[in-house]
Amino acid sequence: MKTPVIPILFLSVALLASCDSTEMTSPVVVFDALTPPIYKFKVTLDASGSFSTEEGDWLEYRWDLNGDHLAWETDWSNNPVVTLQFPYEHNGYIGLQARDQNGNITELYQGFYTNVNYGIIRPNTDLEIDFRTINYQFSFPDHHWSWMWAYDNIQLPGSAGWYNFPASADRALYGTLMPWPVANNLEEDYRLPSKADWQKMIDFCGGAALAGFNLQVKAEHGLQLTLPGLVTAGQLREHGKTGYYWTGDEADEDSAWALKITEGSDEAEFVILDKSSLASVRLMIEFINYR
Amino acid sequence: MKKLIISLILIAGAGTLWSQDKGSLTISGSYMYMPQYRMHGAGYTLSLQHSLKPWLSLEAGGGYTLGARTIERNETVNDVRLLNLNYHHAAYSLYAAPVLKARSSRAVSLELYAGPVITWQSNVFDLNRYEMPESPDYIGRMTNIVYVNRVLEGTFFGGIAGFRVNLRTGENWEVNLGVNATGIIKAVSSVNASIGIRYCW
Repeated sequence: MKTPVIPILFLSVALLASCDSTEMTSPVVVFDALTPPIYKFKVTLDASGSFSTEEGDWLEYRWDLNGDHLAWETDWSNNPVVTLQFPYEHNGYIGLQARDQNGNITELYQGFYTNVNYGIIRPNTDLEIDFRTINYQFSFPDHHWSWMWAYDNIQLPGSAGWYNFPASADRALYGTLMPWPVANNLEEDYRLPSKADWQKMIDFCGGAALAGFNLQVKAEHGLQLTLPGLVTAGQLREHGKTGYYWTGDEADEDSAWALKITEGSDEAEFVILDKSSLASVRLMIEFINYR
Repeated sequence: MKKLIISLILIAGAGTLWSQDKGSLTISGSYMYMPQYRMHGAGYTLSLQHSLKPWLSLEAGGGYTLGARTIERNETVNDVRLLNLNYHHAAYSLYAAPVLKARSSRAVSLELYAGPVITWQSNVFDLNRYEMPESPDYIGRMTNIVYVNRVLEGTFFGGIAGFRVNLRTGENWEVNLGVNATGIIKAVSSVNASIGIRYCW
């Protein structure tokens, strides 16, 4: 080997050994559900608390929503929020990867549990046509809360004062559409839910943004609200497209609040209806037992 | 397996050189710095030299190095506690190099060498380690600590270049001080300062 080769090698090696320092990092990933997840209910997962430890960096996200570790159900997206129908009857994993602009990835899987304690019963009521109730049970450190909701739309015998669907199957499914004064005085023990009662149910069902969907979900533990429509001026309108459910709250002398749900919409909203309009009814009752 | 192969090559090379007439055996310890990842460490090297001419020798050697770095964080951002990060490095290396010698007196000599290196490295770099906030009841976690790392492991090639100053301390003994740089392609390079003892025959 000729001697000039050695200094050249020396320089090359020194250059290679002293290359720029590298700071390596990966994103901090955290995510949570905005509301407690319930089987088949839509739930929003939020990873907006995630961040890159590199200044000025931003993240992309993709989700393994069925936790199978096999495929990612979403493409990379800048949106840290995703809404899904919760797939687990009891518990299961959901995974998230976040990627920074250097391509470094952090992956996080979390187990999610769902636990809705309920029972379905057929109580004795003042009504001629019985309805089933779903009894949700909640335990707290100092009290126990039983929250009972009619599991069927209230159905009344035929009368000119309200609207019954001609087919018996439709009557069973949609119940009776009735004016507010009738709805508000149906049963001695069970009451027409107030706006606040409905709001609690909306919160239980994922909030106003998702309750419209979750209240309609065909799951045993859900209210399974139907879309009978509304009768105004003697005409059945929006049948199969919307459902209006009276609340116990009057807006004024002639009108009252109702909950409105719509086919294909995740949202639930309160609207004001004339008290003479014929809308659907669910009744409810609750008990709180302090320990 | 790779470690075994490297060891066999080292022994074979040592045997070849040992069979020659004039040579030396050096054992040295070194302080190591890896600039790319700012790791510090230490290691040792065993090398054999065979003299071809008064000013030129052939050297073969091998060694083992360990390095590490801790990045202190201990801060909380968005309720997430960022924990310390650690880098770890371990490597077995073999090299061969021609050595140019310059002698100012019988007691002191300078050596300059450069040659190829083959190395087996195992590097573990923490990319992140953090503690998540407490979770609600409907979320189950084995641990609140999230750990992400990158492992760089395998056999890599590169080069070594350096110099050392030898101080004769006895008829057959020398002490040397040296500096070298080891550049490894696609893995972790380092610069080293070493002190060694050499037996000459």
